[in-house]
Amino acid sequence: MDSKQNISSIIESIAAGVLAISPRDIEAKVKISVDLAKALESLDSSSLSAQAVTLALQVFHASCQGLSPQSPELMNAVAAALISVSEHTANPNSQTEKTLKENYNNLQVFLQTEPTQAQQAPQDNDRSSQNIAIDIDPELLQEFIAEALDHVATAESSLLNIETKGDDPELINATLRAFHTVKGASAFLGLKKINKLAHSGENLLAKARNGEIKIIGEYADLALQSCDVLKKMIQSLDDQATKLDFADDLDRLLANLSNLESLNKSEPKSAKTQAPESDITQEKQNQTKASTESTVRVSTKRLDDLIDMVGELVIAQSMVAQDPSVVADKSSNLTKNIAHAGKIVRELQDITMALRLVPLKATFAKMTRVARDLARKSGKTIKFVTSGEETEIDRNMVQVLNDPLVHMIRNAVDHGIECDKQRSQKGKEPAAEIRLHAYHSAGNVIIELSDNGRGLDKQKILAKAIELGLTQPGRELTESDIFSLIFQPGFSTAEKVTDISGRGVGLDVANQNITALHGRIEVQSESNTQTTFTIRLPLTMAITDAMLVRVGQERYLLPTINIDRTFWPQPGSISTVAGRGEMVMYRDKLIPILRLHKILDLNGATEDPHKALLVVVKGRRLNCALLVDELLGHQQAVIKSLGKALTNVTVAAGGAILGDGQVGIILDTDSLIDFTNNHDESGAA
Amino acid sequence: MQENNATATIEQTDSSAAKHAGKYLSFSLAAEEYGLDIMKVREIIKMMRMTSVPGTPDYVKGVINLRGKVIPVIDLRLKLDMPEIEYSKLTAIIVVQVSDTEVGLIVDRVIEVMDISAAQIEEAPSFGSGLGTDLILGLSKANEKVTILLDINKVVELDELSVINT
Repeated sequence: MDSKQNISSIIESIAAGVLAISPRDIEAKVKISVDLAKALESLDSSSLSAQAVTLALQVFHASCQGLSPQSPELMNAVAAALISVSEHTANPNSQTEKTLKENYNNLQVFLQTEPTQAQQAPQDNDRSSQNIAIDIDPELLQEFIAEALDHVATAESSLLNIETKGDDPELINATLRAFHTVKGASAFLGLKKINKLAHSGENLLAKARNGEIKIIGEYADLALQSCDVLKKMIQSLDDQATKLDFADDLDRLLANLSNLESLNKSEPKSAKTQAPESDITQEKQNQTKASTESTVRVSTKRLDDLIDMVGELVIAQSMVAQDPSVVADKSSNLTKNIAHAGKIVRELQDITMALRLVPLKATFAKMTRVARDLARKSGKTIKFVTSGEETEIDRNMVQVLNDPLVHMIRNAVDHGIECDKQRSQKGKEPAAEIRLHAYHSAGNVIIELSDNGRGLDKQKILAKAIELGLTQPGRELTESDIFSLIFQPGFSTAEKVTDISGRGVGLDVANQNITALHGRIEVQSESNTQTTFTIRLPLTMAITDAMLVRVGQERYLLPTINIDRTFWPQPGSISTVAGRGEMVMYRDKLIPILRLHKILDLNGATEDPHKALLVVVKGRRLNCALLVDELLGHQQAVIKSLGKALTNVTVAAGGAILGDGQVGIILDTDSLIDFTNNHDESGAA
Repeated sequence: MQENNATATIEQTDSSAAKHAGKYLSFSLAAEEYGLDIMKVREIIKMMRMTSVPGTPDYVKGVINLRGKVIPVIDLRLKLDMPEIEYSKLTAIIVVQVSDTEVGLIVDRVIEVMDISAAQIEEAPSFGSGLGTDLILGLSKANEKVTILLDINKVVELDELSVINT
């Protein structure tokens, strides 16, 4: 079998590493330890092979901490044992088993007769480890944290799947594997508490696999809570992370888990079902191994540096291409070569940009969990459906996206979905559905959250808005105008009383977070049928599609996502209100004109609006027309922070390097609007 | 007598002066010479076109593109309440590192790198040259001239840079 050959060759190469190792090469020792621990995962834990590998691991564990004086004889014994493990795995017959046994015994004898502290080491470690064995190699620990968190996330998503799709043995095995891996790795590092919990979790899953229990209701809660606590414990290993309090949770959970065990202890495990499944397990693990081998973890700082430098390369290249001597010289090969280089550079830029993107899968998995927990709490029957989780988005945005989505899901569950009784009264299907869907569209990522609940109540929203002074009675508002009122700051807090339709809690927060990501959030609803929130985000925070405009002598960038339209005002379409505010007719509505040159205090700009250009921008609260001199073009701007020193400059959303190498300021339209509003008030006072 | 006085001063300022001994980059502003701890200096670049940033004080002249990084640039003359002059060929931008971030300082002219020992540093007098003495680490008498040693962390107060100047 391929997988066995694979393990065999892995172990063989480890053995080669053992023979080649120099006593002082700690890094190599750590690497071997890690490889051994990984190899151990793919071996049947009860087999002699696994025991031999465990013994080898002990030797290196002690050796990494400088506890054992590593004699060449010991290394030879370890290598011999490993080689026989490799042979036995490849050809499991009595001959290889015999050799393995001999070598294993040999190694054991070696360790006993020569009191290297190898075997004492784990005990020492156990004593000192409350939480973390103090002397763990920090790199090793970091690696463990990252990997263990991945495994816990896998376990969680499999558990959620099990709950919805029923006891699929594949899923149970996936969960079991995840717990098992965490268990093995934590044991290696001497993390006793994590080990214990992972072990208990594994037991629970093993019962499910053997058909003793089903992962639903209480059991599912228990398994998911194990994931949560494990996550907390693993996160708190990280020095930088804030210490999370998990002691209570852990004790309670372990008690619950052990209760469960004593309940079911009498039932024997069926050996029959185990055997074939462990095969599947092995195969699967090899698959995942193969896929992880092709990925590399890189710090985001390095990635950002790379992206910065590629950005510079693009600019430098375009400067060369636009150099007068190059432009004039059309005959030679130079022009051709420069064009070719340009193509490569652009491709390089695309590739580096794609490095930042990650699929939404993890976020969606989290949301599935949130929805599940909320649904259980509220007692409503809710089906949570996700699609498009492979859609990719900038990794920095993923983190910020979590909060808004949680708020929106909470809204949908609490207020959007009726309780089961109401649903049946209305003749709806008892199980409500919340749908989370993502896709790419026109360079943006669209995330839709829809529920088939009661929908938004226009009249109540309007009444509340009038009460709060957000709008005046009698003013004509379109449906979307009314719905957008629910994102107004202040609307949500008042709504917490939830006397009326309820929607609004946390939506302001959601809106602000999305806006901070240069995105937009919209809502559509049909009474008693559905409500759909649509989040529209740029593919990455790093790049924005922007219009370059000129105001006086200065150039500014306006994010295209905020721009509705640009137009030259018709004569007579501009009117002043109360002698100071200028308004322009746009789509049958009057919107205020903001003179950019005034706000930004610039000289030499066109004063007559009829000779200038108006850019209609969509603000959080109102649309405005920005007065600019002219449109210079359109560019993909790599957004750069203006640095720590200028973080409080609100009107600038950042800087971008323009085609000529100069910095262009990206304007934040919302702040511009706020800025002028404040200014006007103070000016009037 | 004079010598005695001098030693007394040195003894007095010994603790603070010893800390400040080291290599300094000296530059001129109007008729005066100033020094910056060389460890804070990242590089010196020629004057380049800057992009002004709305909502910043006068002395923040704008931002520049430093090999892909956007950094703010301060006119040190304006920051120290000196009259502004037109930039010349000698005008330079000294890029300094201030608490994890880089800031450019426009100076009239870069002069040299000086090695200043503790004995050559005197405490800043209270009268000063129109600037708060809290910005000054001390005065150096090295090379038979007076160099004002600036505390760059205090000159460039990061929070100040983005306060709207009205």
